[in-house]
Amino acid sequence: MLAKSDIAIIGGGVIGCSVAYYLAKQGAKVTIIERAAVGSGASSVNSGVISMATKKPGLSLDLAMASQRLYPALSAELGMDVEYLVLGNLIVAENETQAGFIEELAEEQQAAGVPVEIVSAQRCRELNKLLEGRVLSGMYCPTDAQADPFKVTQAYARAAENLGVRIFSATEVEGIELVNGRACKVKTSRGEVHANWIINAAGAYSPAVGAMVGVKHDVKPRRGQCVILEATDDMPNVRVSSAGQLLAKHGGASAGGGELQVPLGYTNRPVAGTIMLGSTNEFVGYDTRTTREGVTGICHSAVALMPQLARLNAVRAWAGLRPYSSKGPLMGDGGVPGYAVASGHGGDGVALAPISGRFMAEYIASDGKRNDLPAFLRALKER
Amino acid sequence: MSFTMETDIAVVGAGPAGLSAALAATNAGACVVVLDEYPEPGGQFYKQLPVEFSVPDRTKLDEDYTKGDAVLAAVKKAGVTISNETLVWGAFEAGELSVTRRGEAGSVKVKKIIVASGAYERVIAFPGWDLPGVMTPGGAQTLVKNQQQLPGSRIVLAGSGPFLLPVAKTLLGAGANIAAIYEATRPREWARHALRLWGHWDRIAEGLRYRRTLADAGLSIQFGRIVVRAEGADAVERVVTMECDASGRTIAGTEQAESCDTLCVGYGFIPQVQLTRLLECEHRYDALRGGWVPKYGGDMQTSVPGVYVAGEVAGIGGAYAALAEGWVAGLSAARELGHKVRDTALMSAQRDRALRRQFGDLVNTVFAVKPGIFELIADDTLVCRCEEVSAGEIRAAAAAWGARSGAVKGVTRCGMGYCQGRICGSLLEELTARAAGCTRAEVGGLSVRPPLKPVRVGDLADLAE
Amino acid sequence: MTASSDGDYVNNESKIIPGASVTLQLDGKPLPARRGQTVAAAMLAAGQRVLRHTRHAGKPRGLFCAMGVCFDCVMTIDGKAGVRACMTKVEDGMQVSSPVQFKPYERKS
Repeated sequence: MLAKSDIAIIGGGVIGCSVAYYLAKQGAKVTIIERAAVGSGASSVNSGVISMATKKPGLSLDLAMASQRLYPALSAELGMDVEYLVLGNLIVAENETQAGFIEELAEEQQAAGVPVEIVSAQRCRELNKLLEGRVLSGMYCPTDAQADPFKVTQAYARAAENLGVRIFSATEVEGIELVNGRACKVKTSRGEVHANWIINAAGAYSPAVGAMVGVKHDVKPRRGQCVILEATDDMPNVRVSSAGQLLAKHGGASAGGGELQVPLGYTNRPVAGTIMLGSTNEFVGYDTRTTREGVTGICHSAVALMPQLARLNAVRAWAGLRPYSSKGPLMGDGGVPGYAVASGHGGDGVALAPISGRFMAEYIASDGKRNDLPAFLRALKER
Repeated sequence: MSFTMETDIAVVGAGPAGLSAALAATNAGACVVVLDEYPEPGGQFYKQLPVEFSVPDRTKLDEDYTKGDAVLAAVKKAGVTISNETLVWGAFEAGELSVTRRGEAGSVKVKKIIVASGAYERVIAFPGWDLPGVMTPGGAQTLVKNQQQLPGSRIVLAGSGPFLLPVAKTLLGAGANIAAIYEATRPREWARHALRLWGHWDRIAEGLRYRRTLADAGLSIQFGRIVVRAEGADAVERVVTMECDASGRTIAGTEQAESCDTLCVGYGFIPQVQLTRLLECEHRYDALRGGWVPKYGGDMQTSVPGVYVAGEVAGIGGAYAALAEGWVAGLSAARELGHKVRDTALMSAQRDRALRRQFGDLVNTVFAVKPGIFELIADDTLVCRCEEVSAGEIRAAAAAWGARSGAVKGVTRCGMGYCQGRICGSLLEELTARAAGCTRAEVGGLSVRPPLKPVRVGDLADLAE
Repeated sequence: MTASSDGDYVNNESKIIPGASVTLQLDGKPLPARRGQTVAAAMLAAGQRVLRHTRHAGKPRGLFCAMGVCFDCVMTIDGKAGVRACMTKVEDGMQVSSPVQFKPYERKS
């Protein structure tokens, strides 16, 4: 037997590590089983954005707001700087449809308490001087932020380990065994892990884990390609994305062949000085390759709205698989006794890691009774 | 704004292996284009003068300049197209290479690819290795040979390996002032391999000629000595060496300083496998042949059908192995395309290749990197030059996250800069392996993504049409 | 062979003659060079071995690999950043400048 603990978490990404940390904080004995290295999945290939402006009011926005509230104190709590920076976020409308979309969204968000405002084309250019292309208007949220995805994941993992969590890297999960109807044994490439609770935090690979207990999870891999630019000084910090990106996120996504829509997404990482451009939204199975259409398409739309980017060097392109779920994050009851799920965070894993960990800790502490996410969020707000 | 080329075989790299492969394939009847990043073909070994320089009488040039003439002339005569200043930065679909040529983005459609991308020097970090004036031996040779420029006025050569000899010869021929030459190994360590030299008469003769050149200059190699640090304010002013034992560990009480303004230090070569990784060829860790190398069969084809390798990229073995191997790859690729290649031609090339690889392996064995040298890397020694990451940061991350080099890269930023881990990658792997207590193979190499070298956003944008 | 009087040019007894004379602008000051030279070699010939200072620690860097692999020699050339001086041949009127020292991002806590 490899390990025996209260909880076994399958997946050592930002969600798995966060869940482990909050569980360990409650005194639970936790094991993380990670098939490659901590954070080596989607957690290492994303922009680390923490955004309210992109969320539809309702559970999605409530989750995001509750999670962001936990960020300012996170570095101190975890004992490691996660580079949480409030840089602001601007969503620009390139056509009438988009302009209408963001106006509606802004109204809904304002009603929900998000400090967004619709701004003029000129104000857009003032907020981010690189925006020289044609925009009609924009939606600006000054409180949107970013964190370093590597650092967030490592911080949670390290803090978890300091609380006694054991992390087994390079360890594949081969099966989950039920005893008396309860999931309690994880069969791995290095031996068995026995636990009272098994949590599926395997991100895009959650369906394969769910299949081991006969559960079908509404999680699909959704590829996002990104292009990283050379480190440059003096680049504007306000994040900019085309409303087209939002429409793609909330709507369907292109299949990946033929016309690939890649609206602008500009994220400056001021500490490293690199700019991230992207990303795509593609359902292409588990293919983590970058494509020519993706890379050139990202650069093309970037240059259209921000022509000065043309002279900068792209140093790397990468792609990651978001654990996309059509109804938003799946957290709590996994459908089998002793088996819980914490997945389906789409591209918001870093943003939602704190709240997800907190929720799962309560879920487990209540032995699965406190499974109501909206109720949990309301209670948090009242505290 | 973007161009397309179409050919049967694309050879990536115009050094000995690439030129040889191109010639063999063309002679067999295939249509070949050689893609090379530099302005003039020849790679490092056959480094040519800039086309803008003029040579009144080529016969007066040292044979180091003219040794490539025959091959280059043959390639030209055979009608091979060499596309200079052409960088292969991506390979997104089978049969296609994404390139830029002098700032113009383009695409090369191919049936077969022969990767002959060569190698670059291994420099093992030590305190002060990032000072101006500290460079690779190959860099010094390029400066002198190609640019007619001495790297400095008082030069120290150090590290390990026979490559220090031709560099010394080139420098001396240019009137350089070499203050000292340090070699980590000692002749007594070579003795047990002496029998394996049998048959490699031309290489032995070459070695003796180098010895003569040094003797004529009043220089002798100081064996069993390694650089432990470089010192200076804004540039290197002196180099401190110590004696080392057979495993590279320094021997107390043997410190010696030598003043200089240039230190050329190198410990062999690292195969430049970025393209083979991008093409998703399988690789294996071969410490003897320089580290991560692509797997290949007797026909030099990799695990990816249609992708061949030849020369240093397939494992460090020297220029003569590269020439022979290029010939095998060129014939094999041409044959796969349906051109007539006689069995005897291929077998003869393979025999030649095996013989040359034998010598290459012997050299690699004798001058294998001594493990003790890594112990010179102090915690505050720089490892990632691009992102300025120290060994201490890497060791701490590796101790926490061991497992894979990619994980250590993620949290330290080592390998995320312009060179994408070419210089620091093997150091990162070594430090990670040591801190985590596992092997280099287990630690894995850094992942490779496009673009292989930086490409302007504007050029990429142009390709989207 | 002549160019700048500071240059450590190889004594090749005129067997190899560099190209026509050109003038670059290095940080606003004229730098003589010969066609066929790389920017890095032209700077070295003029006695300048420090090519840039690093972004974070401001440490001096010079030529390291001289073959386009290490990117230690990156300079801003004709308005484009991240250009390898060792791989770029000189052109008359070329504008060369050392990369601007990075200003560390000031975190508002």
